Amino acid sequence: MLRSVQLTAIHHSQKESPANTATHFPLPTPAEETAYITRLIREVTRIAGAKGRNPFDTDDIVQGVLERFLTDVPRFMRDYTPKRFAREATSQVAVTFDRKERVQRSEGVRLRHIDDGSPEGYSTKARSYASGSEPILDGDGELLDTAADCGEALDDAVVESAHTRAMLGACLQNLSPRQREFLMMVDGYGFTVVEVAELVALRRETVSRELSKARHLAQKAARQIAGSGNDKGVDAS
Amino acid sequence: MNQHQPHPSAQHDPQVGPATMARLVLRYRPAADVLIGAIELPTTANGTERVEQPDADTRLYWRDVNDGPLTGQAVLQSFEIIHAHTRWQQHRDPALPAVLCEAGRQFTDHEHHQHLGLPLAARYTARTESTLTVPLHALTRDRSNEEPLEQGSRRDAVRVTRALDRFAEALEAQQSRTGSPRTGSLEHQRTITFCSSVRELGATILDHHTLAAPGSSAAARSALRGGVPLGSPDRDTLRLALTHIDRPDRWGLVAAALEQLTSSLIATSAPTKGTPLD
Repeated sequence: MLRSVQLTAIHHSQKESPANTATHFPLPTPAEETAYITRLIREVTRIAGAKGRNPFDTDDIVQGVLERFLTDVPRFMRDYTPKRFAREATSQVAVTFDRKERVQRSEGVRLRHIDDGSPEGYSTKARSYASGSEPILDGDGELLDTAADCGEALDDAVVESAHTRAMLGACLQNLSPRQREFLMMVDGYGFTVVEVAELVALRRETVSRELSKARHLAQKAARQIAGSGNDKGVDAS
Repeated sequence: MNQHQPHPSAQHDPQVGPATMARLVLRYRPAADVLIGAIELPTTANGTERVEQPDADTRLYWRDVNDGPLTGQAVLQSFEIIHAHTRWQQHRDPALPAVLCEAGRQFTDHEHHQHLGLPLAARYTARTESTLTVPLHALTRDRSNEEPLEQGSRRDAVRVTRALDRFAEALEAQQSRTGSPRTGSLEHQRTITFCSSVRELGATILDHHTLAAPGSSAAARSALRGGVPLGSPDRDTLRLALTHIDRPDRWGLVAAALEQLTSSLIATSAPTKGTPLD
């Protein structure tokens, strides 16, 4: 019993703030703490499951909620019922979890071969997935794939065509210099969002947000151009 | 995360081809007694997914296969069982295919007490995992073994939840009024655990409207063992009520029994002489 109490005290002082010191709140007994936390785990499992999460995602969310809860046990126990804490923390942790999942997908690195005219050519980093968007298909011209959201790899001849170059120019024209830079770095040169954030000394979320805007604008421009191109074709016939 | 050795009963059968076997991953949280499992189905078993709740403590994710040799059958894809070990201990088996039921029982039996030596924070976050291979045909749904789903009325669910809450409150009030059992004593800790289990049981029934919660009720019965400050007849009545609570058609009677017990506690009168469940 004594050992448990000591461990609890050490654990509660992990995050030092006036709010979680024993002088402000009486420490819960180990039995109260155990009853609270075990119920919390089950509540989070139920809530995440009811929202359609698969069991292993639910389990990861439970772990996230627990980590958050263990930073300030007495305060959370005082201010929240297990159910309320579970409800609020689950939705917050689930958002973080989804964001992480998207970022991790964007960090999947593959190599692509570049033919630079030399006998061997060279390999460079190219991403297989874009953060928070559709997978980019194999083949060169990733930026074009992203911009046009074509859903199929572009033929080399098409990439080289004047129309595509004009399309690319028009797509980038609507972007701010920063958005253009991020789009080129991530979708053109294969940097990850995290790497770009480090290079430009911004938060990952900021880069990710700007990149999403850039992709959206580029896709919109690409659709408009494609639409007008089709119209012209009809007119010509 | 600890790794558990696969259970021999579910090992790969060399007579059976790999296309007819599936890999099962079990993950268990001993502190909260939550077991989850996922099955890696072969790529040929495509189909639509469906979630099912046979009771308030079990969630099953089925795949209605529309491709390959299992066409037309439902195959279990993943599951989640709350109070898994307690349920198996009290023979309230969850509605899982038999092979998974046995594997889950043995896994939780083995792992349930493994975390107790850990420091508190590590104990709460501890997870153990086991991987095993099971025949695919054992994961298909067998409707002939399924019991019909028992559902209660919303009104009875509310009543039984309220009765459970009031009973827990009365027990805690009696404890603080009399100062017995002494704070920090083993009996005091058991009372805290019991009251928490009872409240959780009530909340689970209420949240799931009409479904019974056999896992939560098993946990409440388990917490009742070993000492809660109640006389022997009251404890028997309570145990009976917590057993009948698994049958939604008896919720009305359970609520009445609990209300009577609560009144008895509040009045600190002599043990009750008769209850609606007698």
